[in-house]
Amino acid sequence: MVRFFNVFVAVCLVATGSFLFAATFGEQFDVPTFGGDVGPALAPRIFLGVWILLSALVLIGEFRTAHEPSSQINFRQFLAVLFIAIGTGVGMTKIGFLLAAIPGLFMFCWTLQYRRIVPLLLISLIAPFSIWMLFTFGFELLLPNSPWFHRL
Amino acid sequence: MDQIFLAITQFATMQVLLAMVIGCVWGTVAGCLPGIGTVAALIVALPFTFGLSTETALALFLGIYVTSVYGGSISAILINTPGTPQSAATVLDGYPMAKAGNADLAIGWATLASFIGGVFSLVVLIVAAPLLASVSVAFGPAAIFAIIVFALTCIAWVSGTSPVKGLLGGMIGLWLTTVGPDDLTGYSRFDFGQPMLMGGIALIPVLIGLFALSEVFHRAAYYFIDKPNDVRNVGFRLPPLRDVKLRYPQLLRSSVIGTFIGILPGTGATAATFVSYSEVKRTSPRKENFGKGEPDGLIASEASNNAVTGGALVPTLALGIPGDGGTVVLLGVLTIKGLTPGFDLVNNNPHILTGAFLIILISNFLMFGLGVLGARIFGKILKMPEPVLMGMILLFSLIGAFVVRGNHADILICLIAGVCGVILRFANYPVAPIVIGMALGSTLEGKLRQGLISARGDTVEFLSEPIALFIFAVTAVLILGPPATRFLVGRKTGKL
Repeated sequence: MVRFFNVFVAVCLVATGSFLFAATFGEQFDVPTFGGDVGPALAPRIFLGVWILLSALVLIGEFRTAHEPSSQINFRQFLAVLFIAIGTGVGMTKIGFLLAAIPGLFMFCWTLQYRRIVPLLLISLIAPFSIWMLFTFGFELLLPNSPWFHRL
Repeated sequence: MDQIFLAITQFATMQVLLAMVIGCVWGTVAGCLPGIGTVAALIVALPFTFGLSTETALALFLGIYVTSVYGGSISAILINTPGTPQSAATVLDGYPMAKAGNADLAIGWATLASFIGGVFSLVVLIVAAPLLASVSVAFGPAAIFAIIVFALTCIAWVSGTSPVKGLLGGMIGLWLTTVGPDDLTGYSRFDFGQPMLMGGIALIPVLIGLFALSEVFHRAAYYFIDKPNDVRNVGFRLPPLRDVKLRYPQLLRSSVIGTFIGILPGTGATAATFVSYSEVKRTSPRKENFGKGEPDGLIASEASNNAVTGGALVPTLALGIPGDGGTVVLLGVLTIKGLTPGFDLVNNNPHILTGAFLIILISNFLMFGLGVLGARIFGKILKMPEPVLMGMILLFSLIGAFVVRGNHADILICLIAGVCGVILRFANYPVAPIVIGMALGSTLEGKLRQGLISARGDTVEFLSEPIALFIFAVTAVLILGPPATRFLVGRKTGKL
């Protein structure tokens, strides 16, 4: 399982590097330079060339290395936290910081098995609200706001 | 002397002092809590940079940077878990001292050693940074290009278990800087028609995603409810003066090792502590007690890991080349505040540099004071529920990504970086080289193209500048040395 995952990541890196390297030969990079052949494709081609070479070496290495069995991963909890974090982040861009952070923080802590309901409710309400107050009125930096409630 | 007075007048304000105290307290607490560490502690404070003056922001961040390494020793001593990777060697003798009922004395030694290591490295920083920055004017594009290649190689070589994976990380970071408008021609690269990529990818959201968010996800994968920590004998006891006199060679040796390893890009405090620990173990007259609660072991670890803080700032402030995640964040803060490290900082803003030195000095004293007064409180802080802490890091990470440019797209970039970061961590790729590659990518590309234009496209002429040639030779030795040694040893023993 560990070998499969590591090989998969290495294959993805080889494929991504190759795709991006091929992209440097597209129309977007076909522009006149100021002499010395230093167009916008020069550095990306060097970086991506080395990227492909190194990822190929990693891929070969993954096949040759004996992988130790992985330690116990709480996979369901990991995925849940990942989706909550993504949901909270995307939510901030759509409904504002406060409306996304309150349920986001509550669900995050709940998923990580913090089940003391009263302190959790208080923390989930007070912490995002204090942060919002501090940034909005203290530093006068507007955090992402909701489309419905002006600054909130 | 004028610079010192100017720095004092600019930095001696209530806001700066308050920011320094808050930075030192947060740095120590964050270092003390296992899993947060220096970079996450700095990232949590990042959103506040935009509301603070340059002086206040520097005080906050340098306070966190200096004290977070020390904080890691407290949990290492009290609960046998290093708060930061840099304190891993502290566990070896710190915890046995605590188990033997000397937790207060162990914290006393750790505090004293950290203080001496920190101040020693500051002296080196004060001497070396302006000197190196002045010399750097003589460096042409090829030499700067060579230094960055050398730095990236060092970083890749010492981070994680596989240098190839480290180098690959560095390349990914370098490529990320080529996304968006090209500085020379203005043409957009690798945007694939996506508006969020047309302006390029900012360093801070990627840094936050790769370090802080991926750490949160990684910990969630391995988080199980633990039994309450067994924290005992918490307090502070300063070691007797005769013991300090007896062990001063170890203190000095560890401080020197930490400072000079810190100057090398990428080596960092974790490497320094283990080098220092083994060196002090080799030379100490009490070497047979190592691992059983010997203060020399604690000194070796703590003096060296705090000495790294000053050492790592030498290339960061003098050349703008960060050595690790913590110095990348500091570099980011300087850039946000419109300061360019290197010759410009030393010559055009010398009072800022002098102010930074003063802040580091005062932060070391504050760290000592926190150790004396706060040891008992830190023991209680170690009982804070981890899910709440991780949740707060998540919120501050998302805010930090947003406030850099006030751009919603940066939150999404931060999340993508977080997901990619945790996948790479699972596959044993170090993430620090990616971020350092990103921090150096634009300069590397700029110098490469500038040098080639002035050499009329002649690559040999560009690369054969004497300083560059010397640095390239050192880099080649670094890359080819270990495989060549293995090859020769294998041939000698017939195990090829």
